[in-house]
Amino acid sequence: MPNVLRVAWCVIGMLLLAACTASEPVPVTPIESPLIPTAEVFPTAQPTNTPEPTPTMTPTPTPELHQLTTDGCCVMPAWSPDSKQILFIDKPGPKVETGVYAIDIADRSKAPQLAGRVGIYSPDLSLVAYPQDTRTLVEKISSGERWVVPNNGQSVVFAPDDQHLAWEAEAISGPYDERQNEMFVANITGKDVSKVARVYGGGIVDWLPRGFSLMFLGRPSLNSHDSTLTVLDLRTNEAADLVTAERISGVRLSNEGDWVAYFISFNPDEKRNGIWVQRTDGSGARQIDLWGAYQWRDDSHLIVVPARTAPDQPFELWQINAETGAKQKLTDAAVTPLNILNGDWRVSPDGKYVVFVNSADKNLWLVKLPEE
Amino acid sequence: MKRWSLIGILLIAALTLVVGPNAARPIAAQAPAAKPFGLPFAQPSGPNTWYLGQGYGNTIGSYFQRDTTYRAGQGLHFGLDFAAPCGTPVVAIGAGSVAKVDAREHGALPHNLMLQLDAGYAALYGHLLERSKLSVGDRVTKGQVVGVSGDSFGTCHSAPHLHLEIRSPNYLTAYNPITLIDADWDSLALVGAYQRGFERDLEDPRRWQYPDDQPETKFGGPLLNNYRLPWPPDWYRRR
Repeated sequence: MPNVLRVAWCVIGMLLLAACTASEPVPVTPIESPLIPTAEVFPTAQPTNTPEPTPTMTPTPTPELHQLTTDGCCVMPAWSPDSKQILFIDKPGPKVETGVYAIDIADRSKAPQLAGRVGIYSPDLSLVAYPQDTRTLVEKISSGERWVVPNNGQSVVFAPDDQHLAWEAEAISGPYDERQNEMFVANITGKDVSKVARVYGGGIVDWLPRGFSLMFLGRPSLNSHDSTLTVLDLRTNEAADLVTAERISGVRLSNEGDWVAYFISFNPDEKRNGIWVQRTDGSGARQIDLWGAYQWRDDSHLIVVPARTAPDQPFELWQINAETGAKQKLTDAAVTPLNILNGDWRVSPDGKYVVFVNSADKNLWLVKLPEE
Repeated sequence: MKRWSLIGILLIAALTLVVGPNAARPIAAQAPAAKPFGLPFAQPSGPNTWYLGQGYGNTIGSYFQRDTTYRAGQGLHFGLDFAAPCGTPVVAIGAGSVAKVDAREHGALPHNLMLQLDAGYAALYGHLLERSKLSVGDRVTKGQVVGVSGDSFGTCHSAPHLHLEIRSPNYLTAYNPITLIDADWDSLALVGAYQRGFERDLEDPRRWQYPDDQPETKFGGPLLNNYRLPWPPDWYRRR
């Protein structure tokens, strides 16, 4: 599955009720841009591992749990950038429009409100991308102005500056790790297209939130056995290689982009297998002594849901300080029963909440995390 | 952007959730019905051993390959994938006997194994590294090693995994394995490289969105997910 699809799902959450602003369709004008190849970027550096300090335990507070939906609704919740709303795709009735619905966490008794069309939203929510026939359109929500991205109808990843976007052109046949994937960057109107990198068996991870850099993963050449996680500064065309291994998965950038988390699996050197955090400048690689799911709470704290050994016990949330390795249990299974279905949970951008699909009733639930 | 209809807004209002603002506890998980089978690995899941890959059913991956790889299975992923290094021993999920060895008509090459299970199902082990050492008619016990996992591209580094199907005894229907295998699926679903969500039909976006709420596969039947309004859309197929 190309990483850009995963990114697309993440960006769906970038919606506000303002997206409901009514507008009429306008004619679409294709914008033609030449493809201008630039350098291919093939990194080689290895990270330096930092010894794991002894984890520290702190008293477990009692986070609050709140039910958000009923009737087994819904899946893949996301957060608005201001952490005030939880967003999800739904059609709550046969004659109700399908779209992205929003729950205001400050007014949870209110029914979910339609917030906008299903699409990929830019970080400032001013733009939305969606397919039409065989093309990808970008629409300026305030005016309804639309244009075609010259990417053969592929998905797009909006840059944090809301002025650029990226996309992939990946081969669709052959062994997954041999499929060539070229990555392109253009300005928001689809002009000034540049081919910025090529990998095999990988693709775009995400834009870094600050600066003008793209993170991607893959084999730099067919001669390379391993994949490399790379940060490419598009202003200088300088690449920083973070880690190289045959199987690197689950790459997640921290909120400000200073850190990244990933896991390595099935490496012949078993000591490398597991979850890692690392600075995006390549320094500070640290292995986490938990195995499970993880998301960033802020720019230096990772929340981990450890895989459990007893299925009759709820999940727990743990917090890891990426800088020090200090480990803190945020919830106690006996006090705060978290039964997460299908790995479906999301930490709010402000780090104060987690929304999850409860496996017992298939509804969305909210847990307020203890203050840091 | 479409203009929201007044009717739609009224209907949404009519669906107001009766959810209080006070803290609560989720209802406890119901005791599952007895499931007759076990996992196909003797070792616990982990980064050195194996973890859950693509789930069963209306997965996003199977939607994108509904006209090719998964066409015979109504566009569904008609089994479970478990990522595992080549050579990982795989075990019988239940007692039974060997029905077929390397039966090419069932796919999942380069090597596969079909067991007829005493509980009234068949199990297909796909993408095995080598031909199983078992022979047709051999009895197997639950937990007995029946082969070793391989790679669907035969490379051991492209997509090393076991593909496991649970079928009807006549092989014509595939069932959702998580409804039949006794395992901590919530925990297994936490981890992995594969996208966990299911393909959406935007005309009925709540349909088939949970791991245990997936349709049976009738081999040779019509596509079940050839949606007019899919999400994610067919970005992937336009190249």
